[in-house]
Amino acid sequence: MITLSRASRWYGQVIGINDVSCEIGPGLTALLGPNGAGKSTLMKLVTGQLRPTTGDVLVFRERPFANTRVFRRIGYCPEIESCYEDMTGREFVSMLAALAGIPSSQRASRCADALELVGMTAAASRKIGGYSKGMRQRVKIAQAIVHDPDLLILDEPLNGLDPVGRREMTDLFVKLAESGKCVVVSSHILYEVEQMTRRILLIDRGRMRAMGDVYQIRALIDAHPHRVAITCPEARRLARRLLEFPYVLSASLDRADDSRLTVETRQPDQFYDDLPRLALADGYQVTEFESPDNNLEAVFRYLVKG
Amino acid sequence: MTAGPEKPTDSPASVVSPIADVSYRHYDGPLHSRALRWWIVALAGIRQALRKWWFWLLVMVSMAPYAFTGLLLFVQTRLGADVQQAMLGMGSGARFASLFFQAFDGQLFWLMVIGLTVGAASIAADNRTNALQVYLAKPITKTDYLLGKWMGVFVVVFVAALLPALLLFLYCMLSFWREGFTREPWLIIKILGASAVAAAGYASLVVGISAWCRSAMVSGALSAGVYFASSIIAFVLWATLHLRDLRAGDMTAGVLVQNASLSGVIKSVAWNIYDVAIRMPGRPGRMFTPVEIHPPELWIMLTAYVAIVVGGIIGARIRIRAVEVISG
Amino acid sequence: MVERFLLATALRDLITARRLVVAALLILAPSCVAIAIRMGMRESFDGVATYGALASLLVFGFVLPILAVVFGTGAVTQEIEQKTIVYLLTRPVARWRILASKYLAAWISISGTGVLGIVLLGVVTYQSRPGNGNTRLYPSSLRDARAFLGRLQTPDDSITEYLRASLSQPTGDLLDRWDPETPPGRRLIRAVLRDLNSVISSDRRFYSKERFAAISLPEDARQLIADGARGPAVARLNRWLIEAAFPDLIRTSRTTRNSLARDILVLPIGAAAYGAFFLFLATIFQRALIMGLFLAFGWESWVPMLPGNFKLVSVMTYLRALAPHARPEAPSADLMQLFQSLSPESVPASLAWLVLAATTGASLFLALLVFSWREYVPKDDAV
Repeated sequence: MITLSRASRWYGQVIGINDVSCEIGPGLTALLGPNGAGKSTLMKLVTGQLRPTTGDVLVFRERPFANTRVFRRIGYCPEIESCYEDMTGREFVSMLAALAGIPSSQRASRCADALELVGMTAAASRKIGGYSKGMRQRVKIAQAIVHDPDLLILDEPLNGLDPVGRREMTDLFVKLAESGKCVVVSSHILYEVEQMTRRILLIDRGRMRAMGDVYQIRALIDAHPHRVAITCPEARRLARRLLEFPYVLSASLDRADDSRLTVETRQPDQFYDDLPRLALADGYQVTEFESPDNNLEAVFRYLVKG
Repeated sequence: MTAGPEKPTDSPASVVSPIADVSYRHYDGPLHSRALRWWIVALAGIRQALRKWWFWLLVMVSMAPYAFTGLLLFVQTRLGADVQQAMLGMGSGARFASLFFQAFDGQLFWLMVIGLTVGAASIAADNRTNALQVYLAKPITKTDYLLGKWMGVFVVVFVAALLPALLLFLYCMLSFWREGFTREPWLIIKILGASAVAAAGYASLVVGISAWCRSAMVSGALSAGVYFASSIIAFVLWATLHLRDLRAGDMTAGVLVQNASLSGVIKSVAWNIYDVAIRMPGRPGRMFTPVEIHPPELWIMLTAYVAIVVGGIIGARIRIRAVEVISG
Repeated sequence: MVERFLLATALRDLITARRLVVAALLILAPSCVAIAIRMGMRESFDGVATYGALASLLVFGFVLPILAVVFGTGAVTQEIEQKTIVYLLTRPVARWRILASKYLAAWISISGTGVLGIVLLGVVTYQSRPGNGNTRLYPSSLRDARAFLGRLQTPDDSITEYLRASLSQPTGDLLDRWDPETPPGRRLIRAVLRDLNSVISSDRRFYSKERFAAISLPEDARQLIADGARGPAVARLNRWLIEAAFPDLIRTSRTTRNSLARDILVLPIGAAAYGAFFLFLATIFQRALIMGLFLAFGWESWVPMLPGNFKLVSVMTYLRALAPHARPEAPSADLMQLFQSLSPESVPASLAWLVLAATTGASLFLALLVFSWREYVPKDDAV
C-alpha cells in the first residue's frame, strides 16, 4: 500500500529522511526510532503533507501530496496536541467526518461508533479545551478511524494515555489490522510496540536501519551473538553438554547463582530446536528459559547505538 | 523552603499534616539570586527581539526622520546664509529643539511598531504556554516579573528613540557650535526626557494589553487597533467638534482635542518637554499664512499620560496570575 | 455539500464570544463618536460632515482594513498557529476549496461588521433638513444672504466674477441697484437664485481647474470631476462647487442617505479586495499579521495621500474613488489636507472598478494557487 523508493526529505540543512526505500502492506507495522529520527517526517510524506525532496513516495500507487483520492482512504492521527479547543469532541469528529465525505445522514451514527470504539462516548459533548491529554489522544484516534480508511497512519498515538488506555488502544489497532487494514503506528517506546506487533520499521537519524519481523532481524544480526538464559539445577553439566554444539560460542554461569546459565549462540533457531531435545534425552530440568536479546530493546540497542 | 501558603512557619509543612499541601503557592522563601532579578526577565525579552532580522530593519526605518533632518541641515549649510536662517528659523525661540521635536514626532509611529514587535508577545506568549507558572515558581516575585517584561520593552524603545537623536545631536554639536547650538544647553536633557516618555508610554500600553491576551497575534492587533482608532477618533473630533473655535483663531482647545489620542498624549508630553512652538502652513487653498502652534496644556496631557502608564501596569498586574489556563 | 459545511464551520469559528465583543466594539465605535459630537455640537451639529468624516476615516480607514487583516490573515495563520491545519490538509477535499470557504467566511464577517457599523452611523447622524438632497438653491439655502449677495455685487475672485457674469441683464441691474448696507429684498434674492439655479442645473463649463485653483474641493466633488459629470451629475457637481466656494454662506445640499446607500455597496467590495490580498499574504508569510497591519495602516493610509501617481498602488485610492466622502476641512496645519491640495486629482470610478476587480481576482487566484501547492508544516516539529 505504501511504497517509498529512495525517498529523501530535508529541511534546509536538516535532513528528515535520508534515502529510504521500503514497502508497507496490510497489517500492523510499527515505526520505531528515537526522538527526531524522522518518524514524523516519514508519516507526513505518506499523508501527503510534504513532498519528498528526492525519490518517490507512493500510496495506493499514487503520489499522496494534496491528493484527495489518496486522502479518501487514509486516516491520520497527528502527533500535535493542540486541537480546535472550542469544539466539543463530537463536533470535532463530526466535522472531520464531513470533510472526509461522509453524508450527513450517516454522520451522526458513524461518529457515535468511532467515539464508542475509543471510549469517548461519555465525554463527547464536552469542549476539547477541557480534555486531558489522554482524551485528546482518543478523539484524535476517533477522527482517524471515523471514515473507515484502508490505511491508518498513527503518529505516537499512545502518548499521554494511561496504562489502561494504552491497552485499549493497542487492542483496537490490532483488531483493525486483523480486519485487513494497513496500520502504521509510530512510537519510541519499545514495550508498547512489542505488545502490538512483530513487524517493525526502524529508522534512526533519517536512515532506515531495519525492516521486517523483529525476531528475524535479531537473528540476522550476527555481529552480536544471541544470548539465551537458562535456569536449571544442573547448569554446570548442561553447559558442558551445550558447548559441544558447534554454533554455541560460550556458556557462562551466573556468579551468584549456580543454576543460572547464559549461552551465546550464532544460530538461535537451531539452538531453540536442539535444547528441548537435549533436555528430554538427558533429563535436564530446565525450569526457566528466556532470551534477553530476543526483544525490541535489544534490536534497538544494537541497531541504533551499536 | 516549604512554607505554607498563609504564613511562613518555622516547622516544615509536613510536620503539621502527613498529607502534603499541594496547592499552588508563590515562592516566599529567601531570595538569594542577584539583586536585579527583573533584569533576567527583561534580558530574555530583549534578546528575543534582537534575534529577529526585521526588528533591525524597523530600527533602521525609525531613524529615517532624524536622518532626514540631518540631511536637511547639511543641505542648508551648503546654501546661502539667508536660506539657512529661514529654514532654521522654523518655530520661534529654541530652533534646534524644534528640529529635534519634529524628528521625534516623525519617529513616534515607528517607535510604536518597535514596541509592538518587542512586547506584543511578551506576556501573551507566557499566558498561552502557561509559562507564567514556571516563572512565578522561581525565586521571583510578581513585581519582578512584571517589571522585567515592562523593562524589556522600555529599554528597546528607549534606545531606539535615543540612538538616532544622539547621533543628530552629535552632528549638530560639531557642525553648529557657533551657529547658536550652545544657546540651548538643555537640549540633551530634553532628548533624554522625550525618549523616556515615549518608551514608558508604549511599554505600558503594549505590556498591559499583552497581559490580557493569549496570543501574540491578538495582542498585536489589539494594541495597533487601540493606537490607530484613538488617533482617528481624535482627528475626527478635532475636525468636526471645534471648528468654530479654531476659525476664531483660538488654538488651545483644538490642539488639545487633536492630541486626545494615545500617540497624541505621548507626543504632547514630549512636546512640553521640548517646549517649542511649531510653525505650520495654515489652511490650504485659502491663505497659506503660517500658524504657530503651541504645545497643549501640560497638566491635562500629563494626567492622561500618567493614566495610560499606570493603567497599563495595573491592568497587567491584575491579570498576571500563576494559574494554568485551560480554555473550554 | 462539503463546501457548505466548510463555510458553516469557518463562520462558526469566527463567532466566538471574544470576537463578538470586538466586533460589537467596532460596530459601535463610529456611532458612539458621532453621538458624542452630536451632543457636543447641539444645534450646529452637521450630520453630513460627521458622517463623511467617520465613514471615511473610521469605517473605511480603520474598521475595514483591520478586520480584513485580522480575518484575512487569520483564515490561514490561525490554523497554522494552532497546528490544526494538519487535519484540514489530510482530508479528501481539494485544498483550494478549503481556502475558498475560509475566504468566503472572512468576507461575510468583514462586510457584515462594516455594513452594520456604517448603517448604525447613518442612523445616528441622520438629520432631516428641508431642501437637502436637492441641488436647487432656495432662499433658505443661504446662511447669510446679505454677505453672499455682497460678494456677487463686487466680484473679488474668478468664481464670483464668473457667477456675476452669468446673471441675466435684469437680475444684474437689480443687484447693482441694491445697497449692500441694507438687507436684500426678497425679489432680488429670488432673481439671483433663479439665475444661479440655471447655472447649477446645466452649466458644464462652471468648473475649470484654474477657476477653482484656490479652493480645496471635497473628495466627492473631485471624484465627480474625475468621472466627467454628465446628466443630473452636472447639477450635483455645480451645487457642491458653489458650496465649496462659499462654505460659510451656503448650506450643504448633501444628505447622508445617498452616501450610505453607496457605502453599503462599496464596503463589501473593499472587504473582498482587502480580504483576498491579506489571504494571499498569509499563504506565503508566517508573519502575515504584522505585515498586514503595516500595509493597512502604514502603506494604505499614507500612499493614497502622496502627490503624483504613486497613490495608484494603493487599494484605498480606488475605494475612495468609489465611495468619496465630503470630509469637513481640518482647521489648520493638517498634513493630509496639505498633501491633498498638492494632488487633488481622483481616479475615475471606471478604473477603480477595474483595478479592484483585478486585485481581488488576482490575489484570490494566487492565494488558492499557493495554498494548493505549498507545504504547511508547523515549524517546531518539522523534523
